[in-house]
Amino acid sequence: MNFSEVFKLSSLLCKFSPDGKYLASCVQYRLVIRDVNTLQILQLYTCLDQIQHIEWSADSLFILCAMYKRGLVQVWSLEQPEWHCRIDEGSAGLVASCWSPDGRHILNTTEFHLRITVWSLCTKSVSYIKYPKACQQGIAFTRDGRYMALAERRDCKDHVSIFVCSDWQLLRHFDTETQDLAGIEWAPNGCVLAVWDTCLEYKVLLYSLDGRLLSAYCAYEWSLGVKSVAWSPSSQFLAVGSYDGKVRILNHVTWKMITEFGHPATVNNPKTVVYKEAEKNPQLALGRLAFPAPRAAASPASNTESKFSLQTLKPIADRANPKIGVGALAFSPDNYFLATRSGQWLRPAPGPLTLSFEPQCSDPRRRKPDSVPNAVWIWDIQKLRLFVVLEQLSPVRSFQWDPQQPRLAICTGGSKVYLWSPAGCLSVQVPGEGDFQVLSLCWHFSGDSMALLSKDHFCLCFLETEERVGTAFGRPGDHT
Amino acid sequence: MGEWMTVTDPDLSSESKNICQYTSETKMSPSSLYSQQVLCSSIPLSKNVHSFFSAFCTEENIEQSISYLDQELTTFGFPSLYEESKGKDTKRELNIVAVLNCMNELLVLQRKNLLAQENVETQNLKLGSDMDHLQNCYAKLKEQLETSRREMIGLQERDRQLQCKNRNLHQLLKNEKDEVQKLQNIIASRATQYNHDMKRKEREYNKLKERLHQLVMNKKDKKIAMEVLNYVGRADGKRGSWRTGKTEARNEDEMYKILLNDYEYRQKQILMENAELKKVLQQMKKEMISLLSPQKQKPRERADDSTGTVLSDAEEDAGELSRESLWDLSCETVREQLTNSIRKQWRILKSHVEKLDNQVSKVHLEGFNDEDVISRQDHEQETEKLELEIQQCKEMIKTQQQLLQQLATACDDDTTSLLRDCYLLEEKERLKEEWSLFKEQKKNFEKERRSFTDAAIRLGLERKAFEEERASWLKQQFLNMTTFDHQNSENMKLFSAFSGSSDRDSLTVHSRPRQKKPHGVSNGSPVCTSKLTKSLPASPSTSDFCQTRSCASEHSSINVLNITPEEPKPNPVGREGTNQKWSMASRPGSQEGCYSGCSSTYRNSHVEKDDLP
Repeated sequence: MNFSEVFKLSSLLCKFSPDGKYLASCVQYRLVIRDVNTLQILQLYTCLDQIQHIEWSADSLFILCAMYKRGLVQVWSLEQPEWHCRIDEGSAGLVASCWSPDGRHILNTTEFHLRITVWSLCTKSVSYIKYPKACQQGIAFTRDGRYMALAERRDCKDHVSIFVCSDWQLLRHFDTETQDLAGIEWAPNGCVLAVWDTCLEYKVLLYSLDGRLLSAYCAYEWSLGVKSVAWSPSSQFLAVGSYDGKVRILNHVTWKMITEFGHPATVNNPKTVVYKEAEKNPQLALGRLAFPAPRAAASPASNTESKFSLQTLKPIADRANPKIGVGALAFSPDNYFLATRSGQWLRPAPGPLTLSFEPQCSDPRRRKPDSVPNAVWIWDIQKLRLFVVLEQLSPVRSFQWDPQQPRLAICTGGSKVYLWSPAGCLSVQVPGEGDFQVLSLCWHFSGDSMALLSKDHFCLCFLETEERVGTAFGRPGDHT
Repeated sequence: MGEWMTVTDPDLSSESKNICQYTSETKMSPSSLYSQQVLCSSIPLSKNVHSFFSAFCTEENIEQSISYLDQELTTFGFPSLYEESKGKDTKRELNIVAVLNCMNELLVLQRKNLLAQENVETQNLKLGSDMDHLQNCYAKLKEQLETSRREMIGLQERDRQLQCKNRNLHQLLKNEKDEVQKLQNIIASRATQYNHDMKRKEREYNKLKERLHQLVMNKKDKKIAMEVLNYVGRADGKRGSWRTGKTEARNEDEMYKILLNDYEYRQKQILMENAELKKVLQQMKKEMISLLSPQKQKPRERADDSTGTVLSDAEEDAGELSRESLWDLSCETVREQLTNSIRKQWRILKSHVEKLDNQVSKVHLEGFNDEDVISRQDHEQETEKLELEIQQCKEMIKTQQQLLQQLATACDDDTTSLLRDCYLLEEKERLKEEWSLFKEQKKNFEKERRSFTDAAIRLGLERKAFEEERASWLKQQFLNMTTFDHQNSENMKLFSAFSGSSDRDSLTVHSRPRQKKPHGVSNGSPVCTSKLTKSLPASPSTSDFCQTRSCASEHSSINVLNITPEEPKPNPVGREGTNQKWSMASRPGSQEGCYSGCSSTYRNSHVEKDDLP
């Protein structure tokens, strides 16, 4: 495992191009395009203000930089460095900007969600879509890029409009049976749209492309409901993470629940492997080494124990958006595994709780869930059971699957990056001066490298090629 | 009698009073009670008796009293105190014998009465204590009853309180339920209110949004614009098309196409799955048929009609289903056929398996009789036996271990004893060697002694000659002397006596080695010393012997001079140091043959004595 040198970065803006050739990163108002292999700067664009958002077009030819404060979007072309495009939303303001899947249109959402402006790079035409709903995830494109679903709010009712992306024609428009729609997500096959309601109501609705309601699912009432939703890459399963700390898996035939995965603080199944991160040699960690060898700090907890308790945090439940429930869900690209995190990263709350959040449900078994922010739970989807629990020393910031193989990269805001694969688990100290606190990471689509982002810097981490992977991932027993 | 009664009555009454007192005093021990009672009863009685006797008879009324007594006694059946009257006129005389007899009998009676009284008293005491005990018991039970009654009352009270509480709690629960209901209602109303408000606000918001939109749009904001260097071509290279109904229709078509594709894909998958399942079912069926066909005869023999028909059906089915065309039949027909046949087959298989089970159980039952199969009881017994054996074996092992341990400790003793034995053997060897050496030495010594004795004899002879010479010389002198000295004559007498004893001494010394016993010495010595000292004991020790020797040496100052310093040495005769003494004794061979030889033999005898056993 090799690391590149550390480059400057601002606002955690660093993205690989979809074709995997380039790496775009932002430093204040400058956009730097590098070659992924050589890391040499290919292009350097200067924007008008500090960049707040960047996005590659699907064909990797263009890159947009959004400056929300100024209501500006600047688009740059890689092929023609002199080509430029500037979109000014003016007094309407700008809160979001994204590419359409064809890479020739830009969708800008104005302030107050007044409208979405669709700018074309091909023609002078400008389209407006009124009544977009201000919600968690209001725009969703199918994977093939043909259709866009948009959550709308009209006459105090939620609607979903499905547009054809090629000419922005409205294909379907239907109202949804939701109180306050919170998000929409297409199935990867592009035929089913999952719609979920606000956290006050547990409701997941599944619509066909033609707007028929396929199914509605409600696990319980009266308590805080859906927090996150994820489709499996095969579209077979829909994983719904909720505030009760459980993940429910729906199947694509009957749209009924197959199983539910709880996230208890104690792991009872002796078959489950628990990797607990342990600080082995604090002297080494404190005294910086120039090139520390990849050191495994994660060691599997003894499997002989029938029970293994995870570190839990008592969440503050009397505030809005409590830090409980399954907030992050991700299927591995091969459908075999599901990684989840229960509870959010949060700072310990001072003072005792005066009020406690009690679900108003009649079922006494449904208790207030624990927050286990330090753990990543990996579930075996074939056997529908808990496979591995990775307990880190600090709360998990983010995790992402390798796009090519079942390999999960995790970062906790520390100077280490953690990798898990079915073969084992390892942690790698990010070399470099100072503490490189990995706040976020993103994989190259080939799975050969990933970018590790800290507050002010980023670096690339090159993983071994296939034939050397075996040595990088030793057996669990090797990490002692 | 009346007086007697009066005398005894107070006593009795006092006694009874006492008893009453004692019974009331519960804590008194029975022994003290008894003693007190005895004291109380005995003392007043004696007093009363005395006073009675002093008052009853005086000098004046002897006659009357006698007659009174006589009367009384006769009424009690005693013989009369008076002698038989010979005449009516004659005064009857007191019969002393009768009086005495009466007295005696009265005394006996008195004693008997006392005894009875005592018995009665003890019984009374016993009864009193029993009574006490019973009263105690009664009191205790009463107390218990009281306490239990109180407890009961307390419990009842508590029960009442709890019931009260329960009622209260029920009331509270009801209240709470009501409260909950109320709150739920409130929540519901609030929710509706909230929803209503939300809607209202949203409407307002929408209105505002609309207005804002209009404002933003109407202003013809110059800023809202896109600056592009030049428009780029579409990704697919096509030109943008006009939005028409046609495109709409096309979009619809495409959408449906996509959906259809998806559904087709899924149908295909499902069909494939179905086919797989069908295949599996077919396979299963075939295998079942093949499995069951060899047993066809048997069930038919058993003549179960239904199974027979089913089997025939199955055969038919098998024949039908073997045709490939069936695969292409519509799902329903195939399914029905398949499921039916599979069900039948399954039934057959089930019955067959059940039969097999029955057979197996029968075999088991037979096995009980044949004792081929171990019955459970036997098995248990066997296991019990084995367990017992194991237990025994364990115990054995334990004891063996203990024994081994003991042996290990005992082994040390043995080895030490063995070693000691070894040492003893070695010592024995050594001693034997020494013994032989001793013997040789002894021989030598004997030789020497013989020579010494010879020398002594010669010496004795010489001395005799010398004595004779001297005697002759003295005779001559005596004869020559004119005056007779008494003292001299005594001296001479003594000398003559000693000369005789010395002779004998030499003789005994000569004979001693043959006896080899100290007694021989002691026996021999009185013979020689009896003349000299009459105070010698019957069995003199060596010291006595030496004394005699020293005594003799006073008189015969010829050879004793050398011996006297050696005298204390032979006295302490012990085991230790015998060898050394022996060696010391062996040395002065050239000194005074007589004495050294004697002492040597003596010690030699001692050594022999020690070693012989």
